Amino acid sequence: MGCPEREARLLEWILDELAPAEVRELEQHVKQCADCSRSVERLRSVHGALMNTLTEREMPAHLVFIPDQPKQQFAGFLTSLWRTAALAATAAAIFLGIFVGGASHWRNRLGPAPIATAGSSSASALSPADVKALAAQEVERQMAFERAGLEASNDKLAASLREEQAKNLDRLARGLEFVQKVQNNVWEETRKQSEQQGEIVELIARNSLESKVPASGKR
Amino acid sequence: MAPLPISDRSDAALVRDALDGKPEAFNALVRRWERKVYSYLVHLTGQPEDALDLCQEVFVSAYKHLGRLRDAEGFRPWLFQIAHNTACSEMRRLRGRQFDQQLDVADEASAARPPLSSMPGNRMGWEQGELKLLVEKALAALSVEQREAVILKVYQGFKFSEIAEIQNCPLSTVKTRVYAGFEQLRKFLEP
Repeated sequence: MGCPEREARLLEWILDELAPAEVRELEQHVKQCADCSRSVERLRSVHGALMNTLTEREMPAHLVFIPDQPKQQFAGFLTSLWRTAALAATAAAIFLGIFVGGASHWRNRLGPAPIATAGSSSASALSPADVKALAAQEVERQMAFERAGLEASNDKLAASLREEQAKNLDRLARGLEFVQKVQNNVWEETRKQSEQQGEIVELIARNSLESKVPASGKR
Repeated sequence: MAPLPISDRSDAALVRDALDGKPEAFNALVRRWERKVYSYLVHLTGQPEDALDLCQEVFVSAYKHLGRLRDAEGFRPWLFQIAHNTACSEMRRLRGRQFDQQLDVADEASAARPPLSSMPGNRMGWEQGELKLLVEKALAALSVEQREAVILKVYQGFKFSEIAEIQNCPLSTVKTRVYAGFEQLRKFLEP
């Protein structure tokens, strides 16, 4: 196409770096320009080949971070100090004192906490058995943490289910109560109607009897 | 409110927990990112046998300097910045050997290069494995900076601005590296 600037923009389009408006503009252009259309095809081929090649690799071993409690607490102490602006001056004074008074001591304490590759001893000066034991401890600690999180979620879910169940039962009871009331009303109504019917039947029978009595009297 | 299981927490939340002295949070970050970092190091250095040690070094360094991370949301690019520095130091250390190897690979690859039109997904059928090998060789023939920019963009999906931060260079340089890398790969792979 002989236009490196345009080709660079085409690559940015393929690599998802352009704004939607720019994409629309380029799409329109590519539809009408055979050179750019070929460039896009070529760039997509290279991109596709790279995507097929640059894939995630399987690790020969996984990393396990083994915490060192005293260092960890100290690290937390450091960050909280630096985060609190009001204490910045105090922190500076303390640090000055630390660095002047005992730099080597603190340097030792602030050394990196070991990260061990699972099943390997290369991470630190610890023996393989120590590393294995620490890694197992750490895995156990994480599992416990995950378990606690899941248990808390389960408890919350169970509580909300119980609450929902209670609400449903309450709704059901109120519904039954309503149905019973309606039924009672219907029965009452039916009873009244049958009473009325009985009265009517009795009235008719009485009328009929009364009309027959004078006739027999005449005979 | 019950806490989310650790694997569901965001990077930023895990960074904050790790800074508050919860080692399991840092371990969750290790578990989440170790494969990505390891693969980046393998692709960049071409030395799978050294990549695990380098990967470990990256996470030790990340742990040591976690307090310096200004924005917990930016953990991922920050971690790759450390990976970049670690890989660069290693490659500087091995410069002589690395340079010779790169030249050898480039020569070999040029001699055996097939046309792009013969790749799968194009016109004729090349085996997937053969294509991968070929592209790996083509990548090895790029400069380290170009290769890294291409890997960070295509494999890790970083934005140009994030790559500029990782490589500690201007945005325009990143664009030039990625573009030049693609150009070279295209020329290398085409007849």
